[in-house]
Amino acid sequence: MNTNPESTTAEAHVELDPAQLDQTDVAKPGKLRRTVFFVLKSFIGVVLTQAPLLSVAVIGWTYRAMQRSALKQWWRLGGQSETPDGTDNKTSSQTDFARFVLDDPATATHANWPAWVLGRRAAPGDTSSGPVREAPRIRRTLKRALGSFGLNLRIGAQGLANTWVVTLPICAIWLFSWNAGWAHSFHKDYEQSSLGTSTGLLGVALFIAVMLYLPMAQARHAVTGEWRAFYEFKVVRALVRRAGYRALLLSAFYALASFPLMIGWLVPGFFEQMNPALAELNDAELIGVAKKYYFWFGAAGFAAFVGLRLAAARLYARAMAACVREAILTRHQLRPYERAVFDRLGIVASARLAAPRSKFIAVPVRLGGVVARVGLTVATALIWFAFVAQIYVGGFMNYRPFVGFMNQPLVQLPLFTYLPPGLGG
Amino acid sequence: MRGVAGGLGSAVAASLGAGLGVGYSGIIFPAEQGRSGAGNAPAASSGKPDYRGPNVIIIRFGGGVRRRETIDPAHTFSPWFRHEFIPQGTFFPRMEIGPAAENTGHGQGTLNILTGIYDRYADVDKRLLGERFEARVPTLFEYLRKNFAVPEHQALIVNGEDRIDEEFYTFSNHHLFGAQFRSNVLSLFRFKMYLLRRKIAEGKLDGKELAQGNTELARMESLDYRVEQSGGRSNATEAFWEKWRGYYGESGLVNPRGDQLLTELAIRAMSDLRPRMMMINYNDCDYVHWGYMDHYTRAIAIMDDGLRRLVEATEADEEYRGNTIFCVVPDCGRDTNRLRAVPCQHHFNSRSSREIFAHFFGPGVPRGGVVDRTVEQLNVAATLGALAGVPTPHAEGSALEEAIA
Repeated sequence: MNTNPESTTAEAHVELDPAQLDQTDVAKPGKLRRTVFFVLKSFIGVVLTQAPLLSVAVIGWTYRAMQRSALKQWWRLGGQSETPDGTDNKTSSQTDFARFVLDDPATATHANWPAWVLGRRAAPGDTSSGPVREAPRIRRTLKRALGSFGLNLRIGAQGLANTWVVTLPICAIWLFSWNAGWAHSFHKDYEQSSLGTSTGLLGVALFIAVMLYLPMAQARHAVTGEWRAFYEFKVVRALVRRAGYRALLLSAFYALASFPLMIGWLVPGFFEQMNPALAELNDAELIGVAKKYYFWFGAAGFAAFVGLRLAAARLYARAMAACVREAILTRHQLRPYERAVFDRLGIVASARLAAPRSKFIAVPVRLGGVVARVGLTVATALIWFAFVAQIYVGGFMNYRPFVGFMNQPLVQLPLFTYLPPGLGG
Repeated sequence: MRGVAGGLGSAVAASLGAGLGVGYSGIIFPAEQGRSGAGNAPAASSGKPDYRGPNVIIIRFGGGVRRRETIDPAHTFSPWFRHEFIPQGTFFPRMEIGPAAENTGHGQGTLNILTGIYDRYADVDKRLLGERFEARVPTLFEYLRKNFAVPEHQALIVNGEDRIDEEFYTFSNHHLFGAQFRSNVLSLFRFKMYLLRRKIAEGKLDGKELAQGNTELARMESLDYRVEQSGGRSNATEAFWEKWRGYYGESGLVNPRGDQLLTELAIRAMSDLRPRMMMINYNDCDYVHWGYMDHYTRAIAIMDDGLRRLVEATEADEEYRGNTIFCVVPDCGRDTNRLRAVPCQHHFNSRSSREIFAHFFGPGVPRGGVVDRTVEQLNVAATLGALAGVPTPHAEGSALEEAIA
């Protein structure tokens, strides 16, 4: 079973001993404490979006949060399911999410939100991180001090690599088309005038096709904890289909979230118009102003990035549960982690099968389903086109060489800062 | 935000470069040669004196350049202009687009130069990002042709293919001036219209092609909606295009391209049409809007070379040698924004986008002068009027005394 084994108990609101669960009510942390930790975690996340390597850790942390979010969604959905013996009795695990996750060491790390830095202190009897052994003190200390950070980096690198596999070539096509198109336009190379436009359109079409797949695939990777799950095309496709209009809503969420971010990338270009005194600052002072701005810009970007991924995780969880219940996907198509959770929650294929329909009803219904699916796909594609359009508009308004096309922060690396080469960037 | 629309408009217009791409066959009309381009339409009205002043060539050193890459000796990409031409005339390194100017766009800057006033311009068709502007007061060309017997084909704007709207800055809507005193235009757009007319007239198109040709020609001619009859053409310009066609063919793939085309058109115009006043609207440096600094600097170098060729062409022509005023002035500056990867990508009404320069050269202009005081772009029209002996009563800017010996 592959989960995220690390979580900092220092950030946990309550230190829980799994052996005492049946006797102890799970204590919820106070609201003030939760607020403080929320702000602290968010602050750390925003800071990490200000540097390329550190923002990889943001992906990893977010993936761990996605797994938690999906688990919670399944727990809610499983709570409505029939118990195996058909009764309505709900065990204590089903009424208390914290108790539920602590019931199994594989999910125990999700009692709280993932940690940014500190590793998890292994509780007595806890074997989730491997056999108990007497590791050298320094190693234990390092693991305790930086365990989560290392985990976030590792998972983040896996997530980024998967995302890059399907997006980097497209970004390269965009970059080429922009360069070629404007070079041909400048030099009046009429004979090759179509090259830039045609490659640009190709890139846009490929990106839209990829984005019909990518958010769900990223969620699958995050929730299962297995990078190979990203490439299970049939499973992801089934999930996207089952998600229906909710997948369209997710794409709309992406497009809407990217608009203010596009504006945010442009704003520094107008600082001088907004405040002419800024033109008198020296480079060091101007860098300071820019960094302050990008910190707050990063806050918005971080919120959007995490929000989108959590929304994708919930969408994934909902679609997966439905696919299993409706026998669209079999139990064998689940990853071990999912199988274990579903077994615990009793999410299984429904015993009630739909009554067979007459072909005079089934055919139109099926046809209607196809039409609806095509319509949804087209609508989703158009929304992703709006997302892409903002990339091009942003490129014109404030061209950032290479990264402007090669990195889309909401999709790839959540890096929300930019210093031009002239200022040492 | 002020200036943004202008910058966007110019950038979008700059992206609409149209190739000819389609060849036409046609018959060759005998070119009507003559020192003044015989076969001309008569001057706008009779009884006016001949123009005996110097020829005037206005170089719009644009679209949009910073002082740094042009007149700054340490960073210039126009070395001939900076090191050889400037010392021969009177140079104003601190010309600005004054605060009264609402916008720092190309169309606005061009009309500032031609009219001598800052005005608020709006697209006549209210198109988003459109720059079909109408000047309220006369342009230099109208002043010249109203006061002197100068035929239309000797008052020329040489325009690029990326900014079709500027084809139609040839006259104002002032009630005492207007279309009858307009300048003519040399551009690829006009050549395409000429080719299409020829093709249709000679019956080289039929059926669907003919219908499409008529539609396209009507669309092109309708852009100059204020000209009902001749569509801004004369026997002289028709002969000019015929000669051009004979030399470069019809495909548009043989002639020079971009701003180099403008230089070629201007030099050929000097030979064939003998303009008394000509404005050349260089523009390719504006491609930096799309993010590539080398397009900007390369375009400046092309303008520098073009300027050199034009000056040499006037020196090689008896009627132009020693008898031609040059004015080199940008339409606008560009931003210097350190927070952008390309600091001069746009010209969104920043301080730097208002910082330009002007250089005057020719008879009546002192040599070697450098005027280190702030002057304004709207001073150009009155200064050229004073040098040429052409009254410019509606220009608000005054003549720059330092440029007049």
